[in-house]
Amino acid sequence: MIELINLTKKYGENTVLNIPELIIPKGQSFGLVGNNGAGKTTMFNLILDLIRPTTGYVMINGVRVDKSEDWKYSTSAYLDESFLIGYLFPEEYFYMLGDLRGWNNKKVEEYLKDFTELFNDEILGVKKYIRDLSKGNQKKVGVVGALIGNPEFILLDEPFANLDPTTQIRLKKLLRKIVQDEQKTVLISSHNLNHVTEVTERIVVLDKGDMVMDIETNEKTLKELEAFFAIDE
Amino acid sequence: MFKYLINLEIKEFFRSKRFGKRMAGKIALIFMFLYFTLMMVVGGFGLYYGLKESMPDADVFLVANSYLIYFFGVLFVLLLLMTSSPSLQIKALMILPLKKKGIISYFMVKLIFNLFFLLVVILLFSYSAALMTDGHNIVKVLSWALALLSVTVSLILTGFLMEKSNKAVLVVLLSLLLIFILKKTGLIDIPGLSARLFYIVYQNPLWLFVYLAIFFALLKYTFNILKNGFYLDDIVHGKKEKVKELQLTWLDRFGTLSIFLKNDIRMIWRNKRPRQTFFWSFYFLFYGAYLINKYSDNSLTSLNFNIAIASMFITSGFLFSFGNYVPAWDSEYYRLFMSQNIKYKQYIESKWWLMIVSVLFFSVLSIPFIYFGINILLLILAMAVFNMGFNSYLVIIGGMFNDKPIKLSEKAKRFQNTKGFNGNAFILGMLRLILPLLIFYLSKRIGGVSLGVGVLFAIGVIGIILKSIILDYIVKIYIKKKYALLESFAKEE
Repeated sequence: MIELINLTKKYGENTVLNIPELIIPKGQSFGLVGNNGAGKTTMFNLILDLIRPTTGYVMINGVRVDKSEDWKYSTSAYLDESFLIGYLFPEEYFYMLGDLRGWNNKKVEEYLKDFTELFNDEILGVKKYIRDLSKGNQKKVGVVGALIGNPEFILLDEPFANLDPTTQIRLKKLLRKIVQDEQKTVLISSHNLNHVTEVTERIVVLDKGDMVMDIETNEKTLKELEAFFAIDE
Repeated sequence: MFKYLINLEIKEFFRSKRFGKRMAGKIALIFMFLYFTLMMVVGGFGLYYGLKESMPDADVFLVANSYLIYFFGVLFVLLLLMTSSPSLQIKALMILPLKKKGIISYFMVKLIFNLFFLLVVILLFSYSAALMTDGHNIVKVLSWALALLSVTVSLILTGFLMEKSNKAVLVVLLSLLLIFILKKTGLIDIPGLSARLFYIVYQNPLWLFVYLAIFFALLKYTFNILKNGFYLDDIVHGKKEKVKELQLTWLDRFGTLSIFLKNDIRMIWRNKRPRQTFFWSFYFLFYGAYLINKYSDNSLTSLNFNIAIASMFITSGFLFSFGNYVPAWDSEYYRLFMSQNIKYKQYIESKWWLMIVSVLFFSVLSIPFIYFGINILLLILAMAVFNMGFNSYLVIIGGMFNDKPIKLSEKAKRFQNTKGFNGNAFILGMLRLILPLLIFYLSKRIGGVSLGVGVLFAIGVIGIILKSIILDYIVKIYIKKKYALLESFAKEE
């Protein structure tokens, strides 16, 4: 369970995030949408204790993230390229993450077989450093890296951006499979309303730092979201 | 066109995310510059008339010329250590309707007109004025001064080329070796050579053209290198080659720590900047060896200051040069480490172990120093233990102050600053050097060499025993600075 209690983040006078209370129960797949500057990445950064909240706090499984490091065992994330280590081969990167989460290389290799289709022979065994991969391939490495080691909580920031159409569809399929696991809580932020409604069971809309919508996804969700974002026309 | 670039530059400076720090630095620099300007003006006159007073019979101008080569030697070292090539937001400029030539010229103007260049100009100006007031021929003096200026600029360009290419480093090292050999074999006499090299321009101003020719050739060469490198694939991506894998499974026996040790070894091996730093640590070893060779006289008790400093250097090269930037090496992916399944203490501990391994490595390399006497080896090992049990912690604390992100990948640097300097880190760095020397000296005063060595050993051993407690304390400081570091590392320079 992830709890955001009375959480705000201000830069000077400017409030970039203001969440009185948000509780994401275990096993839920959670989508976060909003325009640029709505506070999605800020929220993820706060959950991962990468920036300090102005007020309030975040708890993962009952542990305050800024007080203890215990949440790190159960949480993994891929937010952007700064989560990649450019001078490693993708394999080495995966092995390292596996090591950190108690998986040996063999187990990692076994797990990576599920992604053969997604990787499309451009990632494993090409003997290229991660920094030399294309942006799209880097993203694949990052997203898959965040799945290694069976974490309970997975945070993905814009997983569909920068990917080619085929990969987007493959990734969507994959995420849907992961989301079905009752043990896993997945948080996905996205600009792509289509994808996010297909993958998640609950969607929160952020607008200028405020939660303006909190809905369960059903057939009508996409229409509602489109209506919301078309407002200014 | 320069107008736009200067305009951009001013905005970049005033709107920088590090504006406060940079402004303070600039103000301090301006005062320093004013002070040195005054020194140079006085120095120019003083050098001429002062020398004249102390050597009334000699041609003091000729004497000055014979020492010029040393002056340029020192200047070159200062240029290499203290200046850094200017940075330009090159990627954004590439597609603007600006001429390549213009951008590169601008870059080169920034490169050449650095602080040292200006100081040399002032010194030369003042010295030439002194020469003229004493009745030397104006045209001759001016040609001489211009020739010296060409040499200065050539040195700046050579330094820049050395920073960018290993070939240039090799050329410079080989020439230095050649000069050294020639001097040792008595084939050349350096002051005489220096006098001839520079005085000749005064005697016959036509020689100025030779100096100008060298200067223009270097200028053109640097320009071409920059121009040919003015493509995205050189600046941004670097070469994409298939690379060989490193076998590091032997490290697995270290458990969790091995994950980081492996990673650090790969980081050092596969990125240009940390690799350079690694090789730098051997200079410390060689310098230590040089000092010991020079100052040890095989009498077992005389461990003088030079020997002590040398013993210090031998095992601390990596500790000082690499350790200084310890969390900053990971700046590119610090966010990953901070959100991965890693306790802060494990991370810091792995860095500590890296330092320890480096000290042990150099300790093993230092065993042949037994040739200079068992006392020297003992002192080296005592310093090594001190490095492990005391300096290693100082290094890790000091690294926190170097919060500028480090760009690891190699080619990204042709137009960027590759060196960083921080006052706090510098002070801690001095402390690491001075403290052991002081401790050794004081205890040697009290109880002789064996007490000096013993105290160093003891402090080191105590430090190693208290590792867990000290690291806990350091981790507390690190956790306090966590957000600030994350923020700094995310900022592009």
